[in-house]
Amino acid sequence: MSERPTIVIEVRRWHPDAEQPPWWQAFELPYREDQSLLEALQHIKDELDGSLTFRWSCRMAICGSCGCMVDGRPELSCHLLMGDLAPGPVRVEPLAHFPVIRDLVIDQQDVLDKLPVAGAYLVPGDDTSATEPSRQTPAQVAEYAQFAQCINCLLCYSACPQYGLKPDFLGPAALALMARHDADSRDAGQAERREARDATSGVWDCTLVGHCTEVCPQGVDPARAINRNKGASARDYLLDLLLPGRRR
Amino acid sequence: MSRPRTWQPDMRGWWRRDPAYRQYLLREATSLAIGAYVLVLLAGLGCLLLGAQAWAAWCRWVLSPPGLVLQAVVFAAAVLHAVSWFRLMPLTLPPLGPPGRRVADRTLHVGAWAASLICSAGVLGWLVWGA
Amino acid sequence: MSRRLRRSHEPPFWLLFGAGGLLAALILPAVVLFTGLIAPLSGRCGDSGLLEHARMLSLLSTPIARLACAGFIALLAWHACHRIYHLCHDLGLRGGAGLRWACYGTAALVSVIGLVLVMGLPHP
Ligand code: SF4
Ligand code: FES
Repeated sequence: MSERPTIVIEVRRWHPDAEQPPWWQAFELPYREDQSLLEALQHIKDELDGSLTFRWSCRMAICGSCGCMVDGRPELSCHLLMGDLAPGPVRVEPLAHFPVIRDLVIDQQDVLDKLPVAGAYLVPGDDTSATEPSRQTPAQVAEYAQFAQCINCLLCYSACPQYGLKPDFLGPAALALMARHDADSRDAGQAERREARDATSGVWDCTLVGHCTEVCPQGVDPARAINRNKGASARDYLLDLLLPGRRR
Repeated sequence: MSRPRTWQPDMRGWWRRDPAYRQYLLREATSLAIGAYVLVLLAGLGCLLLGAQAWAAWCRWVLSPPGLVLQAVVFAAAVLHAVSWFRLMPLTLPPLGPPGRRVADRTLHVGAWAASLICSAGVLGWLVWGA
Repeated sequence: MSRRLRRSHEPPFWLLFGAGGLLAALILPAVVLFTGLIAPLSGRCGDSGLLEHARMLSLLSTPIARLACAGFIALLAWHACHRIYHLCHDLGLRGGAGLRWACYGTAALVSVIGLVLVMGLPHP
């Protein structure tokens, strides 16, 4: 125990009732190579400063609650090993582009509101029975499986400067959800989702920075999901222009 | 429901957060070099129209140190543009080929570079031997 | 929260941007290589070699060559102006509609001038 190496973790802190602007607080603590950053934060909370506030649940990169900026990059804190962060210091901040409620806790309401705008559910077609299971071939599942892996951790929103610059942007995960339904053979809701897709705050706020895809812990590839839909949106724009009365 | 009191950092200097952002801005900045080259070509067309003397002046400028430096920059920008354009191209395409056997990104990359090679050879051939 | 969804008019500009970008990725390095390296090495400043005045005119004597030349310049201009517009946005320049008009207006102007110039070229 006495020989455990130590590391410095600097945390960006803020308390709504404190009469001071956000501040950096450095903690020095012992760590193990195979310990996650989340466990290190829990060590701080248990042993050094009980007021440090952050979210977590599953501790295994599944629930998507523990996102934070680690050295400027959005990460799941339960998914990073201290051995990879050593020797430090490690800078931990709340996820970028979101209002901070306290310390590392952000307000994700904006994205929760946007998911239904982009289409939160699969829209069954006429030939989809309500009582019978809708069978799909492995090839049909493979069409959307990648886009369906999202755990709503919001790392992609923190990676996207366009979301930071244009808060109305529906953003990577919501538009990946849209592409997920578009690619599902059981879905017939593309027309319903068109308005959101074609809007200024839909696919057209994206400039293909591509960082969302790089930070996604689930390999969802939101950049592909969004940009695939730009072509479809442009096609419909031209068709609406050439065939008056086609739509809107 | 009332929203909680919050704090939010602003976007000033956002590109300093990650090298990926600086690479993105560099990719976007290739448009400045390409735009400058468009103006050079446009001026060349104008000079060509004005006559042999004006054309010779344009050719001299293209060969002058500032002209050559500009074109070196434009060449670097054009190559960077091509590399990033082809790298990202598969993301912008709808799925190609039959379900279950979609065309791989790798195939698209190879195809794009092959097309670039063929088109470049064609354009150079026309410019060098066309008349 | 009730968000109003406004239809974007980006598609035509994005299509022009994409066409210009594809064209640039395919052949721009070769074209710059020609004007910056191959042609200068081939003769003296426009009097002889590949950049000789009469040769350039005959190269651009067919309608197809002229349209290709004007189209190349126009699409590159739309590509560059679209990116410059978004670059300004990214860097925090809030130009609004004025910036939009300046960027895309420049692209349109360059396209028209290019077309007029190339069509006005004398036949050798
Ligand atoms: S797309 Fe990836 S990064 Fe974005 S919320 Fe879903 S899992 Fe997280
Ligand atoms: S705690 Fe669940 S994803 Fe990290």
